[in-house]
Amino acid sequence: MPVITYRQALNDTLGEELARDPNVLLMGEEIGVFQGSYRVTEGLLAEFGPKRVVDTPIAEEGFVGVAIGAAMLGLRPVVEIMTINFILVAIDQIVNHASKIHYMFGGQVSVPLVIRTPSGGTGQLAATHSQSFENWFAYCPGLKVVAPATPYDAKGLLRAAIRDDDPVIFIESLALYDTKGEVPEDDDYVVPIGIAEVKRQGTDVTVVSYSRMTAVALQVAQRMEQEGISVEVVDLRSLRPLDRPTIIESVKKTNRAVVIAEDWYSYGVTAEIAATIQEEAFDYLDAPVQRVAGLEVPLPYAKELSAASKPNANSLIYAIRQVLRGTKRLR
Amino acid sequence: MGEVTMPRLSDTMSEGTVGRWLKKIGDPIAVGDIIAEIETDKATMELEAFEAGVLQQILVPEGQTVPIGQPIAIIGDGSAPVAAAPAPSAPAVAAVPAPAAALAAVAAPPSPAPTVTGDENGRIKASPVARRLAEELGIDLRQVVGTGPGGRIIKENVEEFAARRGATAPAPALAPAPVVAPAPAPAPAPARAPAPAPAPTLAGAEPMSRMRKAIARAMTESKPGVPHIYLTIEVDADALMALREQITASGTRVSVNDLVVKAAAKALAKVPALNVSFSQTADGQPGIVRHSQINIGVAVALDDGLVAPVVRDADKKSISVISAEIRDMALRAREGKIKQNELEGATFQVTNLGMFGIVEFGSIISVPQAASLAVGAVRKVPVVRDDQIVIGQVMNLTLSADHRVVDGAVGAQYLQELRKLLEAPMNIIV
Repeated sequence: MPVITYRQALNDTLGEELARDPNVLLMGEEIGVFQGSYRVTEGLLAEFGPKRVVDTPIAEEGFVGVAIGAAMLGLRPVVEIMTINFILVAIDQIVNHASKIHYMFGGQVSVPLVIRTPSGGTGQLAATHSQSFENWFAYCPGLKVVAPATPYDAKGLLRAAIRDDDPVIFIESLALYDTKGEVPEDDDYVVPIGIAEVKRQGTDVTVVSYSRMTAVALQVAQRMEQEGISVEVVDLRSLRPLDRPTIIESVKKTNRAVVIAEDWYSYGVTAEIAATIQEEAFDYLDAPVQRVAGLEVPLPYAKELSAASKPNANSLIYAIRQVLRGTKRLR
Repeated sequence: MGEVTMPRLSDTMSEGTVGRWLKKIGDPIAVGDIIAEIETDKATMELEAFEAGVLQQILVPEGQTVPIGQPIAIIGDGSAPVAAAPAPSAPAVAAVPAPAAALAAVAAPPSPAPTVTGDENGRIKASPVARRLAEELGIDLRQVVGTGPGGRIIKENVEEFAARRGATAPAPALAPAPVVAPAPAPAPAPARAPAPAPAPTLAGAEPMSRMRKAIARAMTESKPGVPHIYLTIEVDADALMALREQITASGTRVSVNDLVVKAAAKALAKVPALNVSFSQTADGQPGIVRHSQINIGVAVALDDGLVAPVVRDADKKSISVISAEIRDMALRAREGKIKQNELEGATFQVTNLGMFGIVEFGSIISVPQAASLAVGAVRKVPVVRDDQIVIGQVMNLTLSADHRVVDGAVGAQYLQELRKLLEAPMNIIV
């Protein structure tokens, strides 16, 4: 099976979907002539022309609104927001319009819109360019939110998102664009929205994660295996709808859970998962659920402080040790 | 004026919890009124008033656990002012909740072990899964040493405790007192420990719980091969024999064994925990397969051995169909014309030596089945009915079960269901 990057998987999928369905079009800042700030749309303007790959002004509220209208009239726009930090100016369009139109107009129209955007921090991009807002959208009924961690899932979920009749927020990560993984060729597979995956089987503790933190969790699981600690990694893949049964099934097996996400600790994704676990697997827990999330500060610019503010492999290992305290593994 | 005491609502109940008071102080009470909900080890049950009057006092607040027989409320004739202080003769417990420690002291049986885990209020710090497991295994958490943070008892502490105890004790919540397998022999020298019985790898094997694995291991150490447990029950066969006579009189040939096979299948449908197989999961771990079909192997003696042709879906077939199938297959088995596929796929076995006058016996389980039923002779015995000694007919049934996957309590539950069917045998047919 060919091994390609996450970026390539997205680029291939966008091209294939543009070719497959004449109603699909791409919109966003610098996606055409400049070929994308992170080169996800490279080559697509040349191949499909300016009616299908539309460079927009720097006006997120405006072009997201245009995309919603286009979607209501039958097109399937795929909008790129350069990073999730810039989505805030369009949040009224997304939350008050895209998510509600299907409901408020009695199901007469749908909004088959995809908004792709990288979330999270990497490098020294500082406080206003390193945030994670996927939970803001996962909070909102009427939206779907997906966050693939691997090239395979990126392709399968982007296909599913474009073909879905509801608005989908598609979360990417700058740190994942160059990661590689196997993706089958000539295989029109779809990763269904709302289905998590156990990315690694284990028996001692369940780590629940998504997007880049799944990559971190898988590295940690490998490292801890050498110490005789068996970590199961549940990759959520979708934040809304949330696949609660897969989380619960895993925790019932391991009796311990650590939840990791890049957003801030309070009111974040980890809180939702931890609450779910105590509601549905209380009698199976052997230790309090541990949460690993970002420190509650505007992200510092200084390299060391920036790194110290984000969850990473070390903070995950620490949390895993916390939930395993008192067991033979650590005695 | 009368006291309402904590009732005994099941054979195994030693204490009960007042879940909810459904009447308030001052409410009029009629005989048969439901005055409270009582939570036992098994269920929440309603407490009926046995006398009429006015609910004068509530002695045990909601959520409090007290031993059976302890007064929990007082029903008066309505003459005493309800707001008055408790009558001098009443226990000195007010209607308001007493401090937890004081009441816990009343309810808690003396701690049987020297090691006590718990904080100064007597609350034991244990993880939810440790609590659940201890409850399932009938383990008193006060005897378990916790190694978790702050001395919290965690799951593996309970598992280790259970393993040391022998892992054979049944859950206390099942009645009647289940027969337990023989206690494991004194621990054999590790070097001489017998190899575990090889398990076939069957499709659909699901992983066992850690406890189940521990039991499987312990049982195998105790008795190499398939560790059997044997449970015997006596069945009043009068009604069964009468029914058979009725059917025979109508010209249909039906044997006692046919009726037992059908009853055995119907009882399995009620206790599916017995319709299982010990197996391996795909990764080589011990596992359990739960069968969706009830296929009964019926042992047929041959000149030089025996075979067990299989009645498939026996719980869904009529007696006459079962009878005809058994007769046909037994005949062909004796002629050596039975087909291999008719001997495969049983999930349970019935063996009958009653025709030889055998009173009772224990049969060997055919792997991968988890249980086998040995049927003894229907015999006449003196029984006492209405204080008269009369001739009654009884039959002994012995269940052999694979203790790796089935505990004595489940087997006992199965035999109870089976006896119920055989003693009211119209239920076998309908």
